[in-house]
Amino acid sequence: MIYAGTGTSGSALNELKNPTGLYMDLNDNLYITDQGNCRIMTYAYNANSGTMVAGTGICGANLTQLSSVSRYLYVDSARNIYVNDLNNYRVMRWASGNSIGTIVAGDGTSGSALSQINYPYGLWVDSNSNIFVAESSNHRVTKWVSGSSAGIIVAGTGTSSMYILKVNN
Amino acid sequence: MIDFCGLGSSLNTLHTPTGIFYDEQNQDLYISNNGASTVLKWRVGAPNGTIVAGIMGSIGFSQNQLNDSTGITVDPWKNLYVNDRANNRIQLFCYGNLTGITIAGQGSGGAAFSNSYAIQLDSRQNLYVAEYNRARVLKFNKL
Repeated sequence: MIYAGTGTSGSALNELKNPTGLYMDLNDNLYITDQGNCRIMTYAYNANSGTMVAGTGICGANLTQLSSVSRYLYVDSARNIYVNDLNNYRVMRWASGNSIGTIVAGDGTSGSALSQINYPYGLWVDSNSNIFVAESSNHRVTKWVSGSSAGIIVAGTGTSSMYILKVNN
Repeated sequence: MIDFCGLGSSLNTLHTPTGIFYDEQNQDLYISNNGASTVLKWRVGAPNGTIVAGIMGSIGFSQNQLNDSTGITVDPWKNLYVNDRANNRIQLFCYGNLTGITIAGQGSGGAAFSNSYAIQLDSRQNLYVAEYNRARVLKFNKL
């Protein structure tokens, strides 16, 4: 059954456009990265429409906005919202009820330095507010200790592969 | 002649990781290791992970393979759910089992998904799937 959105792209509060991320909180509120609308929506359990809780509906790079490409999100037990804002090369955090976010990982530029994130998908926040980011283009998972300006690699090496080349003469 | 054999990726590297799930109690990260067609369980800071789904470097549609895995989640019993995006299906890997079960999408008897990115479970283990191309989230009730 259709749970959220109508099946037709749109920007009304009961519509979605290219949704990319989901997070279900402990109270069964569903948070959706509504990428095509540059916003985060939340749906109370079995609600017919959502509420915009982050982003503005207009893509951009200021601290109220998300870029046109955003991926997974995480919501902690205090309902603070974390989003992988892919094309702004940053992870954003919106404190519960606040329309202005803060950058909690990444420096806004693309690269492989530990202050940078590159094409982030997966996101998790532990009970100490440490942030885990799966960086698809950096082939690593980094952990950002709360308040830190650089990540620590906790999985992967930053190099994708060990190619095996077989030469037949 | 040079043959390129597989995508590569050993168990101490990642290849285009996408979704993650963190079991904080056990400090285990579950990582959708998209480019190597596996899902790894990786203790934080450990030198390597172990495969919990997929066959390294082997893209396919059989029940032990994945094709473009993106979002993942894990239930309280450590069963693993994988959004197997290019196969347009959701695979359930019961704890300790590398053979998956298709629970939604192509091969389940229901309609194939259209570019799904993300999945989640609610407190009753009902499944939610975000369909990018169809501007909607679908719900599948747990039987």
